[in-house]
Amino acid sequence: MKKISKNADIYILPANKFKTFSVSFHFFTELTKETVTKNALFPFLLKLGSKAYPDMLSVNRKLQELYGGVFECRVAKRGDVHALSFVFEFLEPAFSDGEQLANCLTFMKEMLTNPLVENGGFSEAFVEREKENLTDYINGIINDKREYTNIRLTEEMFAGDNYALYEYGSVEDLKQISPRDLYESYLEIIETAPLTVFISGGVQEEEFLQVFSDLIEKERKPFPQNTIYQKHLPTPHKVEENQNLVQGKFALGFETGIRPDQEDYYALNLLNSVFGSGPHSKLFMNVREKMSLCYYVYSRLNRMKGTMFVGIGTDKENFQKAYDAILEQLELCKKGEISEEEIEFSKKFIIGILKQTGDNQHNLADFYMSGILAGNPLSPEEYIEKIESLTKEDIVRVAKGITLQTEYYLS
Amino acid sequence: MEFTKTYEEKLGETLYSGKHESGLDVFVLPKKGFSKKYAIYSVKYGSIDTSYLVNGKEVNDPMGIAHFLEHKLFELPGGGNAFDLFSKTGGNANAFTSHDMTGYLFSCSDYFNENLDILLSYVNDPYFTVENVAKEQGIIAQEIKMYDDDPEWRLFNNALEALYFENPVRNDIAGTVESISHITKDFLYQIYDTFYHPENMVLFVAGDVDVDDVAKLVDKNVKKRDRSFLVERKIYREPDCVKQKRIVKEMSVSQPSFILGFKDNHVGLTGKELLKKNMETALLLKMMFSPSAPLYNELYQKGLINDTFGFDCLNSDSYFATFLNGEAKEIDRTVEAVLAGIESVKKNGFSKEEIERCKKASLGRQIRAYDAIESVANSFAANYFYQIGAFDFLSVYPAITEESLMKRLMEVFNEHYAVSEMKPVSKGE
Repeated sequence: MKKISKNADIYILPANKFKTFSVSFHFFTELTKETVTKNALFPFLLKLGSKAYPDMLSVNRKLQELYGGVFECRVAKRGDVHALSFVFEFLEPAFSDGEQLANCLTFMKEMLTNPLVENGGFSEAFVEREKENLTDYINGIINDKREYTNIRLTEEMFAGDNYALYEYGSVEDLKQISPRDLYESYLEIIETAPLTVFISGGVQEEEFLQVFSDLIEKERKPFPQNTIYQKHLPTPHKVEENQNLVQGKFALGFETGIRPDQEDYYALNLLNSVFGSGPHSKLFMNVREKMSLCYYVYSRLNRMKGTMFVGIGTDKENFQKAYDAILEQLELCKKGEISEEEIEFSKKFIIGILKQTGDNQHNLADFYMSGILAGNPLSPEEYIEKIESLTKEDIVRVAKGITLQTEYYLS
Repeated sequence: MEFTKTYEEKLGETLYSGKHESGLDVFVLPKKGFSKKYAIYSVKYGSIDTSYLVNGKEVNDPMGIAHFLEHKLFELPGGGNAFDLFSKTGGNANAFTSHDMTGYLFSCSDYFNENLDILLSYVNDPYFTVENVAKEQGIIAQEIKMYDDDPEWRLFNNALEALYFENPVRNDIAGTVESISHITKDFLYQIYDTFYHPENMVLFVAGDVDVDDVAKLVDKNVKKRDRSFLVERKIYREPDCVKQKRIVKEMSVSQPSFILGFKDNHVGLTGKELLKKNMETALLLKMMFSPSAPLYNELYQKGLINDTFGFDCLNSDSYFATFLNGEAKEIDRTVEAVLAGIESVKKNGFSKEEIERCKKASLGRQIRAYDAIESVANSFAANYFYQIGAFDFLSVYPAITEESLMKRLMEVFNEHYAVSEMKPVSKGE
């Protein structure tokens, strides 16, 4: 991987095996109550039109002419950072035509930097439509019960912190937002927010730097600050909700105390796999396979926030039994009751995924982005070395620092 | 085992294909430069295969048995399961059951041969006991209940239930908690012997691997059977109408959503004919219901559909259903507008320019799909059972014309449609 530092950071990822060239622009801003909804909304307006392609129909027809290109917007929460991403994917020139590269660069620049503006704001019709869309989306959180459980646990666990905010904002805030507000947010982000670009595939560096010189040479703010979860509740905060589900679900939120840039994060990653990530994990082998209590049970880390979530779907009458089993497995980790085999399997599991990171352009960009935000960007190879060098003592040490903070039950 | 090598210049891809003495077809797609290696070992046996003839004798099995068998095949003689073995070799293993097939797969970076050995060996060596069947009844019951709480899945299954009278595609893939309670170990062995026959299976490998090693591992694990594959699948003659015009279900969801499903009874196609039909249908759906389509834009601007709007096709040689789905504040209004839009497309057709643009875009996407090893392998494994080859799509594009698309349009969007509705739970009382 090659890094070019202008006022924006541009990473050129190795990628000559693909038939796709992909360019993604990531802007980072602080996650705050005042800005979250506006910043979640305006990216989607860019997809609906620009000055040269003034409606959704012409944008999408242009994408078709570029051999089925893709333009996507993504909004994500990475710790206390709100990441707004614009992702483009196109067929490699070798499989299309000689003009493809130039045409695609022009299109990307148009969509990002030349939005449709009327009366100092975004198009009113676009805004109204997208507000409705986003409202539907936010209200739709409830439809996917598994994800809903995680979102609710996050809200409860981080109550009072900005991290409790939903990355797509709130329906109440949406009502107040004007086309002009949104255009101001857009300008603020595009002109001043820290920017990272990933390029993968046959895009020539010089051509890219030339076309996007305005954007990448602008002076930008530093990355927003991030802090980990630190509440140290003596007894877990417990929340229950009833929706008359056929199957109950619950999620447990743990504090780990480990910062994203700490060496111990790698040990935590390994502990997570021993405990609950993968079919070799203690949770899968015991709570599912031995006790037959569930179809899914897993643990998952939030690196930026230093937390670990456990999720499970099981009958309501088995909640206590499953809860006890999950905590028992964690206790075994703390006591060091971990076999050499479990450690070996977990290492192989994590390393297998790391080795394949470079086979998918998005995964590779995402991998580097996580490292950058965590303040410790490593290549997949360097990450693998970290995992390989870990011992049981490392796992036990990080396990001992894990405490249950919040429980969320849905039935 | 001899392999034939085919190079496809338009894709820059090579495919090795060979037939093993057992009757198993084996394919290898080399992907130089990729760390990931992937293998899928599939059987043409899915949730719809519950009634069939073996030696002239009719057999009727409980719903959900194909999926149950898929879970149970991971069990190893003497205890333990295949996941344990894959854990040792760093393989990421999984399996899935669809309406018409079951696939066993893994991906890995290292120890490919060892992982492939495990895959071929556990699928060829069933081990069912009274205890392990009982344990699985518990796990699968939880899986079924998980899907019961999934509004999208319920909506989809209700659409199939509404469209079909008899075809088992109308049943849930996993069956019901009740139906799987009838499954016994003897049942599973019988099914296994009947359907898991090399002639009814395929192995597809993708990645930077050695084809000769693949051949050796197939030799080692796949044995020739003493009889050929002899199942006569039941053919369902569906009436030219739908079973129910509408199914409504209430769940705790944010707003109403719907599936408008069309049942197309022109079935029985295989090979390039079926592929052409699939591709034409996909193109039509894009020309009508994607953001590059005038009709989509009209519905979107009027607020009749939102970002959740999409389409899907469920097709095989025995059923062909096309679905339009999404959220809608007033389902009746949206469905009416969609139907009216379809009628107007039928009347006005498409411009040549529109068709060419759409074909160009679809071809570009299909070429790019080769970047994703897993999805290429999975779609090939599914197509194989209908005699569709990996690169066949390239020769089908030129055969798709304005006339053939219009003919398909009339066939797919016919009057045999049903609406599946999901509504938020009514409040009050």
